[in-house]
Amino acid sequence: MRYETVIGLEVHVELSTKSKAFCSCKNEFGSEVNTNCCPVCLGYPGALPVLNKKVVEYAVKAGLALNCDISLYSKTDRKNYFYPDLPKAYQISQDDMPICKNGFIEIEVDEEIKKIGITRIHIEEDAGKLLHGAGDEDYSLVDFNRAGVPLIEIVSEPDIRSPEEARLYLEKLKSILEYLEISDCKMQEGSLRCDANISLRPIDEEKFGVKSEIKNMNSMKSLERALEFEVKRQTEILLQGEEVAPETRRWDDAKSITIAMRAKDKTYDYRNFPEADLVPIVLEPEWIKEIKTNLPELPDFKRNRFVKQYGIPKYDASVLTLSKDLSVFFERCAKDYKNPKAVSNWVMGEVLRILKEREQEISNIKFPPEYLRELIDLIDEGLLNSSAAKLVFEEMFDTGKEPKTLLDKLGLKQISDEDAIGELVNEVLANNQESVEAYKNGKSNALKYLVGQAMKISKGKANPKMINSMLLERLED
Amino acid sequence: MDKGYIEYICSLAKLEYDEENSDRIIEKIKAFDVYAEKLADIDTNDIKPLVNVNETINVMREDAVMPSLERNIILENAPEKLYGCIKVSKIIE
Amino acid sequence: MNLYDLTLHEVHEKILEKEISAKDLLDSVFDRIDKVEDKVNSFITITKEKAHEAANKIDKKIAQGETIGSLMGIPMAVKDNICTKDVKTTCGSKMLENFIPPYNAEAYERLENAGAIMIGKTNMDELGMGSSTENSYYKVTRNPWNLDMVSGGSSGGSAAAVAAGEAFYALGTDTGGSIRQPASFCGIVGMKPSYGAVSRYGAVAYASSLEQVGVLTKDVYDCAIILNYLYGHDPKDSTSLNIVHDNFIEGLKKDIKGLKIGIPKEYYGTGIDDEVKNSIKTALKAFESLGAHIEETGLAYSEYSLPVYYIIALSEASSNFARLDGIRYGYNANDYKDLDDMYTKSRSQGLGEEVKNRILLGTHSLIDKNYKTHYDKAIRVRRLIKEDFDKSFQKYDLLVIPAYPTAAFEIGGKIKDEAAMYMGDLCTVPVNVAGVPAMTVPCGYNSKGLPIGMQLVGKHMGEATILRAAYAYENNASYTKLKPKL
Ligand SMILES: [Zn+2]
Repeated sequence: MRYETVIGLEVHVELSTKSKAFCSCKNEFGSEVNTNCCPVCLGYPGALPVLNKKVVEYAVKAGLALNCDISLYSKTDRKNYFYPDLPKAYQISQDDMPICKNGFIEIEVDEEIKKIGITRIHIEEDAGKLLHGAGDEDYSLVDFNRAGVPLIEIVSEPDIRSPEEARLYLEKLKSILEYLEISDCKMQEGSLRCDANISLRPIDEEKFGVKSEIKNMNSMKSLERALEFEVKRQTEILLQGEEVAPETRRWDDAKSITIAMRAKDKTYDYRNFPEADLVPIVLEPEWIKEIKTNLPELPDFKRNRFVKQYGIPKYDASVLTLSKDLSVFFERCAKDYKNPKAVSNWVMGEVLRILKEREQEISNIKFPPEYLRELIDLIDEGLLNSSAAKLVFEEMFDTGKEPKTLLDKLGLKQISDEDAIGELVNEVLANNQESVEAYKNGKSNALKYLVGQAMKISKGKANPKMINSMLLERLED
Repeated sequence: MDKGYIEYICSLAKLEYDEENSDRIIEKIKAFDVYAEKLADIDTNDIKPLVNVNETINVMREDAVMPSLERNIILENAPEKLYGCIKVSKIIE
Repeated sequence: MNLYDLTLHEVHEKILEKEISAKDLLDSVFDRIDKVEDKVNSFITITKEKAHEAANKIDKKIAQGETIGSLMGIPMAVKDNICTKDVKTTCGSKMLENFIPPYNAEAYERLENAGAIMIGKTNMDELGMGSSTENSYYKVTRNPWNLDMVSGGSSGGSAAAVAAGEAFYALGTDTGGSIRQPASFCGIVGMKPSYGAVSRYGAVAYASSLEQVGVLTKDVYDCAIILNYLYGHDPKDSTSLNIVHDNFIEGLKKDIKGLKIGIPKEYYGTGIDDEVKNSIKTALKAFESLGAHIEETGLAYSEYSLPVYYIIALSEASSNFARLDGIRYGYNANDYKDLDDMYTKSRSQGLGEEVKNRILLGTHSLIDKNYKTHYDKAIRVRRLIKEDFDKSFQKYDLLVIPAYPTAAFEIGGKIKDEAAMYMGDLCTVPVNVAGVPAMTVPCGYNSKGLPIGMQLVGKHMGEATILRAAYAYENNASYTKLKPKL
């Protein structure tokens, strides 16, 4: 029996507003515990919520960018359950009338475009943070700084058919949200969180299989790995003729397995009902139109534009535009430059390599993109060969200094002085009579050897083109 | 409507389930349901819900930060606290 | 005549004339409290020191020639479910015995900013659930007119304090009659404002979509003064209306010639005490003699108001009071074995029987299998009830109904007559369901010497009309006004 994987993702995104969703406390990651809290976000008696306008704007932006229908009328509801990180014992969310519905994201799988449907996007508030000691304490601690931070939850259709597709979907989603500048989208810090529903069904079967819900996947890689593990686990169960248990499972990144957390047989009754402390959100079509007109260029458009405008391969454009910051970096380098492909090679090669090696973000890079272009200019002018250029680049990355300055400092400037080259050539010709003879007897690759010798003596700093032409000149004499 | 049901709604409301008291609660709920049953007389298929009598819409505030509470005030009201946090029974996830 | 016997506007005149100081008033009120509080039990917390500090400041301001506002230096009381900064706010519950809010309710803050002197927090049925103030964790408030009788509820402490001369006026909250019924029992004026007219911020929410903060006063004029301060938009409450309200004093003394008053028959059926009916009948004659037209009418959906009210109120309560978990504030059971036990013990020990029962009924109304027949049904029928009132107000300027079917009942005694019990709810609850304003005005005494009240119900934001009619009646009532003998 062969099985098909069916995956749907629920993604929670913390919106990067200045203040929280329903009170004026600072929305900030990493503040000292319990310093961004007030009667409203602590659920003190009598305190009342007031909706942050920006939250609605950001949710609509997300909806438009994800091809959703924007609800002209939506409302908030209370989702009731007890948990120590949930101050009011209900979460303000949207139940039956979400602000956005029926959207999609396009991903590229095996060079084909695939649409993944988005069921809905709704506004809700985040809970506080539970801190557990590492030891055997008999308590947990609560920090309410995150309580009331605005979230949007983006629910996909069960259109995803493989762990790889799931990752591509999430990467694309993250990319779009970054372009919109409505969230930091940092999975490590929890501003982008993803839960997955995954089930298997026999190929050609319509009915979905029993699903597991997978939590605690803190990176793109762990999402893909966790789902790969689940596919394997569920396949094995099904092949043995057994049934998958409906349960919530937790991904353990260190052990690379999913672990059962709780059974899902009885769904909890959240007693959703309208939030009477807030009033409905009614949007003007004109306002939505205005937001739509002012949406920034999104990754797919930018990719196509890069291909057209800079003549770089589609693959390059895809890589460069997945991250907004990277695409901006590239474009500042490549703008009005004669050889964008060289820029693309540098950005996709050295820039991404060093960022990964140093575990840094493109947004924190020390030097302006224009410096990279200067560096490439230096190569073109023959002042720097490519291996020396890599040394300069690394120094530039570490110090943020201009390449010209570094060139002098590192003594890497290419030797292009005719007299100096002449001397070099003379030396090489004098010491390699055999090769000179060989060349004269028609062995043309002897020239290559001679150039190499010249480069060696100059410790790589000699301009290879000049050496080449001067050697030829003398040999032809 | 049985004791199991009372135990269930007690667990939802996080209230102690008291076996001895449960018959009395069953009676109360039954009486309440009879009361609610009266509304079935009215056809409400075409009637929209009314939550806020004023039916106001779009009450929102600007995205501006105002000072939060001093942490010591938050902790003074909390029955149990530790390291600037509020302490609760161990949570096993 | 003692100072504490006077009305707000009377003592204001004396302060204005520099006849008396804020301190004199405070001394008079605290003397009175010393004498009667043991009998009446109006207060949970008395803030004597704080009040003296505040009065001192006010006296200094007055000495420095500051303009003297209508509330400046005048002692008042606040129901204990209205948050007061740095002053315990218990809601009559063990759960909040030690809760000290770091903020003021907006309604109170407006009065404080106008120079009002708070002397204490008044007793109430736990979390507003009850109609006799017997259901307080702390004490039973007695009726100043007869100490064997209840003061009404849930704002019973506020009503008793004002009636007993312990405060010149008091703030209350009204979810289903909690201001109007105790005002009636204690022979004073009580106003439940239009929904959205007064900020709910800082008033501990029982049923968010039904309740309002309001005021209990000695007379109609005082009520108009306070409403001028309380009304108006508050950006902290999303349900607070952003509209300009009338100046309630300006129109107060206008006549009521041609005023159309409807008498909905559903509110005068079996269960309404004859003495109550007769008092209201007499009052209606007074209205007629002042030029008003009286006409019998009907509010067909009234009978549905009760199930609608209870389903909505208890559903909202089950959610609003879920936050009382003893984690961030409030009662914590301490001896728990795990997380679930911590919640269950704290809540079960911290909350009283009535509250727990109502929370269970609310939970029952919201669970998946009941949602359609209970909560969802109720909020749809609610629209019909509101439209019923709207229609009525196209024809009438006011509706007059009893504030309660009887005068105050006995402490410990239940109303035996089921029809009377039913009518008791019916008199007050529909007003909250429709969100319209209503005021209790005293209109006589029964044979036992207990006060009787009637309600003037107005259209949404029609408080000015209610006040005008009530003021005209108050000055032309045919019965002799008495004071409780304590
Ligand atoms: Zn806050």
